[in-house]
Amino acid sequence: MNDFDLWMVQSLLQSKGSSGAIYEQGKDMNILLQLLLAVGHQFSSGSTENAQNTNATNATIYMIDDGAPEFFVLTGFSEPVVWYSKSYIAKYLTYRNLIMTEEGIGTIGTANLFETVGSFYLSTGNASFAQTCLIQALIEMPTYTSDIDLYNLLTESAHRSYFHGQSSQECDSGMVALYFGLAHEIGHLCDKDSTSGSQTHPKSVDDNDILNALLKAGKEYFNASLLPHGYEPWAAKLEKEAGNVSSMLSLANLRSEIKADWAGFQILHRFMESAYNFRGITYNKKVLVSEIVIGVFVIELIQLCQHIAKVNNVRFSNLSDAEREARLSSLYAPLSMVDDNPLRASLATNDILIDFAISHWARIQFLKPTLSTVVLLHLFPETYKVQDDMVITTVESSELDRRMEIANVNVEGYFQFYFSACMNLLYRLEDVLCFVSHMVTNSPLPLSVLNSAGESNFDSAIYGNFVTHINRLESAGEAGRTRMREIAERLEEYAAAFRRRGLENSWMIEAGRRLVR
Amino acid sequence: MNTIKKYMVRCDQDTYDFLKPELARIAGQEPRTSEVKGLGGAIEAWIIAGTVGANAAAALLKLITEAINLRKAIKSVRIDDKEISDPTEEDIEKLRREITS
Repeated sequence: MNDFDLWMVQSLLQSKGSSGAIYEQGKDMNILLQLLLAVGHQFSSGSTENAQNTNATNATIYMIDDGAPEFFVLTGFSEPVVWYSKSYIAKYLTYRNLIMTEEGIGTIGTANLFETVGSFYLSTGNASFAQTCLIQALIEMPTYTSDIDLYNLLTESAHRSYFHGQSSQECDSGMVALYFGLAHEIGHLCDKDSTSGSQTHPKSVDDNDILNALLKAGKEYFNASLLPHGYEPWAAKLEKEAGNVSSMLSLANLRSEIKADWAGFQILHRFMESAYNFRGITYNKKVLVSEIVIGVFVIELIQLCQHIAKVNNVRFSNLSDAEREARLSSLYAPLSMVDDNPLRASLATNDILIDFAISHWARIQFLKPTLSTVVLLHLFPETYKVQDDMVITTVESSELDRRMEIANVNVEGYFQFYFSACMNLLYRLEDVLCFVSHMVTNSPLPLSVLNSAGESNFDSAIYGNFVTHINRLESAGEAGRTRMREIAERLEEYAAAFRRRGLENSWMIEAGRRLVR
Repeated sequence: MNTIKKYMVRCDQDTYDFLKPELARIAGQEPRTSEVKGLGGAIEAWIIAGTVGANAAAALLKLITEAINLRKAIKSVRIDDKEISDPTEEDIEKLRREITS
């Protein structure tokens, strides 16, 4: 990496309020990352060499210690730069665990969504919105664990299993949490390099294929929501936005993601094989597939939080009339029907959730056949064999069909199993979107119980709720004081993030004073 | 003395299309460009960066002001170690005074 590239990355680190360093083999505890890079290099070059002996891919990996849970790739540098955020890994793990837990999403899900959206506001430099979201996260969050702690725990656990040659669901899920995002980004780099020998997606992914998948997913969504009449206007919107790269329904963006999902899965699968085969052990491929099913959802969920902060980043009072009207328009509630800005804002933001759910469902359809094949290989490992450098089936076609059907049913089962938990997280996100709608309109809360001081604007009402929350904890004995210490600790982490970003945080300072008085 | 200054602008695509050719003209060389592309597929921002002579830095900031007045979405502007997020016309004028003083 040349000096100017280095300056650009360091500038980006500063402007996002993050700190980080280039990943260097041997100096970072995340040793398995090197193996993943080697497998990624092997995949992108189409090489058949042993990944353990191959040089790493040319991408420079920046290990980011703090800041928003962002994971992205920067192209146009002398070599691609991947932003590997530890807070992203931690947040991914948190959401993954929430989806897997039998206890339900609960307020901890809402709190984490507030924290995620708040940290993206902070990353964009919107101190006021960031403070309001993070204060709400403090009110909702039942317990805290530092993001960096979570990342370190996960890394230690994955490496311990690797070096000791033990596979477990915990270790396998850790591998996916640590490396699926990175494998996906390397997948993007493979896609960009059309001259490489990398393999390509086995399914056709032209505009028509993606459009048809979106229309099918849209129909299923509206039928399942018992709102079949919503489909036609949405389909008309899709036609308008399919060519717009800023839209969640952009066909070009979706194609790029579909290809990167597939390449990322291939890289991760080969990485797991290399890691475990090196130690002479096997692992449960069904676990890998079920983790990927959750993983694609979580990756998109975090990105959606970023999108929400991006499109709701200005108070309505600062917009021109035309901008405000454009921002408030909802596909399902014409302006003439509603004379209430917060409600209109809420309806408009809910359109985002609909696009998200449909595009996610369409996107995953393209990965399903590959996931089914991996499950097939797990259930019936002798189905294929290699003969004269060719993969051939060992069974009759009717038997192959039967086995594939069983694998398909398994994969569909994973989707059904996690569907309700994923939907529960989206319902929680609906609450966050309603909150954001009030924030951008700065309208006070409608229920007096949520605005006991009768504040005239939303921000003050939320801070008032925080003060009420602290007062209640103060009178709740030792348990309350313990909780206050936890809140104070987390608040200090937030305040430090504001300082790194060079942003004003008067509420946080005041809140900190209240907690330690 | 005409010292060289590094610059970096983060913006949306529309602003990128507007700024890139003008910045190339002002700096006398093609700028470096990069997309910031997240995991979900959305491009979070476009980056334009390069170097300009100190004399050309004022012209660069004038262009930024013009973009702001056209309500273009500029996330941040950095000249060497000085950065402004969501800059206003006044912010840019202040930055211009700082770097030319």
